[in-house]
Amino acid sequence: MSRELKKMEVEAIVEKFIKRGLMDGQGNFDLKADSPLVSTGLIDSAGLVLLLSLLEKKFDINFSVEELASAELDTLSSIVSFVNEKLNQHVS
Amino acid sequence: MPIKVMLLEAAGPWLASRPDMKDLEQIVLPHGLMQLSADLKEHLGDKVQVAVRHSFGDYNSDQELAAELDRFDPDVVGIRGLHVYRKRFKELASLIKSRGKKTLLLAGGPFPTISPRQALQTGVDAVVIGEGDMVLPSLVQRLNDGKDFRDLPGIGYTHPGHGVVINPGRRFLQDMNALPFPDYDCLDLGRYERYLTYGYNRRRQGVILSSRGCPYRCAYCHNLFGSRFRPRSADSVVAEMKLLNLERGIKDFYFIDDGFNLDRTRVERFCSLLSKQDEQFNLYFANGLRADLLDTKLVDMLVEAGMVWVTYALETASNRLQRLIRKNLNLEKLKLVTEYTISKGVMVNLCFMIGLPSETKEEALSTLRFVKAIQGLVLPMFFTVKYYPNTDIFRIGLEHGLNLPKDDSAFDAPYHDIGHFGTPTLPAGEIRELYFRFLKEIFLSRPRLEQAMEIQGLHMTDQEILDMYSLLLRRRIRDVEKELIAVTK
Ligand code: B12
Repeated sequence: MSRELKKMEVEAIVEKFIKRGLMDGQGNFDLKADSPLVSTGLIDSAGLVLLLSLLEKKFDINFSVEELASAELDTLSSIVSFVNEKLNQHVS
Repeated sequence: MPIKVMLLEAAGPWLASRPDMKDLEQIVLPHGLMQLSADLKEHLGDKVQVAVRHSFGDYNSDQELAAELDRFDPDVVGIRGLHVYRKRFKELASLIKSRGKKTLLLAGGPFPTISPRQALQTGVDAVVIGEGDMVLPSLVQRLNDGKDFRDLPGIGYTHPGHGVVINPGRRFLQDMNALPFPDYDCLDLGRYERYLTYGYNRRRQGVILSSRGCPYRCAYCHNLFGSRFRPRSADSVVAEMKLLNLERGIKDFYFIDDGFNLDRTRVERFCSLLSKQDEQFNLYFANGLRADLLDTKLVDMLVEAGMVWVTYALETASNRLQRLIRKNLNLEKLKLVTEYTISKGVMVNLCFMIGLPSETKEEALSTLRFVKAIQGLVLPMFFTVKYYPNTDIFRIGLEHGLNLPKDDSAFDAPYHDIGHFGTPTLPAGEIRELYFRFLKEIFLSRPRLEQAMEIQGLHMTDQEILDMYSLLLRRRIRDVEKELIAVTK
């Protein structure tokens, strides 16, 4: 799979995860790449760890606790690039 | 005309952070206010009419609360609150005062008891420090008789000439058996079934306080009820439960004692009374049992009596820190008792704190390892220490160079919330890392989830389990297997 395709796939998974976690009827909005997620309560630390665990399984990658704790993961785009970086390391 | 008293719990959103999650909020019956309602009715009979309301659970907005105030038109409003709700306290005080009626506004409970001067600044007319069971009825009686109440013991108020006056002479109740049972008629019990209980279900709840006071001197506790353990008799506690079952169909009872099991003989009597009856109750020791005072025999008895949930408070796996915070828990005993309790199919909530004064990363990691080694915990719970003024831990923290933010954020956040909190020995970044380690390796570990699910399945319906994880993860979970177990390692 090309890098671009993978990036889109990650994006789609993150978006679906966030919308699925909202209450019924709340998920009908446009998730912007840079809208804050954690600081607005759309997702919380435990949800974030769950999401990354899902991505770890899906793409067979592994984030260390130190990586997780030091990353600033407050937006769709920051989460996507965090995962992408790992995927690229993995490929090379 | 009876005197009308509204007792109001100051509260707001807590664990369910978004408004659309309000139905997942844990809302516990305002037990202290229900007790005061019973006290008032016992002393004043039909000279008093009482309504107990929860400012968050009972209303969707302050307009709704204002409308109810207009309908009920109370002569006295008494607000109860914790420190975390002191802003809410002020909002409520302003709302009540803005009605322009001659309503006497009182405040009581943890926040006014610990910080009476600060509570007076919220605009209330007087604060009642400590137990209100004797003072509030006397106060309302005085109002009824058209007399001044400001000389009563334990009352604080602002005197126009002398500033803040706090009357000495308050005493703790001596005979807990003399108290009437808390009043369940003063509120709408059904409304509480819209929210989660202390046990993460929506069942009709009974809240039981079987004792007051605690002789331990844990440095982080506000010890509101003094150091002498004042138990009710086992017979009185069981009689209250039976009555609630008979009159209201309550089967699920939540114990909020500071030290339910400090007197072994009393626990044994309590268990044998419950084991003898036909009706099976579910007992949730949600505020905890002291684990190192239990043994396998007593756990067996509690299980036989109906215990389905127990909280044990480890706090720290470091013996040095156990001594520093004066909890002095026997760690080996706690481990044995916890494992034994789990083996009996009880849902165990194990709590610990990170960020104690002088706590090092290695000590914090040893606590995580201790928790991780216990198989089958339904709810391991990570707390960051909250440094409340007027606690010993606050003083000890300062002695260890703690530098707290000026804005009170050091104690305003919920249980686990890490915010920007750090200590000289555990900076904020380290605490954040410890929390992520806890989430990844303990809370969201697949083996733990699988073991927990087995035990939860014994006591909770599928929907209750979904609600519990939805609140804990702050996201709607619709399928535990697919959304949690299958995606964790
Ligand atoms: C049950 C409980 C909970 C439940 C319910 C919370 C609640 N709203 O009460 C849950 C699990 C949700 C909880 C959580 C927390 N809790 Co808690 N909890 C308790 C516990 C064990 C029992 C409370 C209770 O009902 N007591 C029984 C009744 C009879 O006592 P009472 O309400 O104080 O009422 C008596 C008097 O105070 C007085 N009174 C009370 N109100 C009024 C009003 C008037 C007008 C008058 C005249 C008198 C009066 O008369 C009553 C009868 O004598 C207490 C410990 C304790 N010993 O009280 C801690 C305690 C209240 N919790 C505490 C804390 C810190 C918390 C948390 C902030 C922890 C955290 N950092 O996350 C959270 C906050 C949650 C929230 N959003 O509300 C502290 C509060 C310290 C403070 N100064 O604010 C306490 C005192 C523990 C301690 N010993 O330090 N808690």
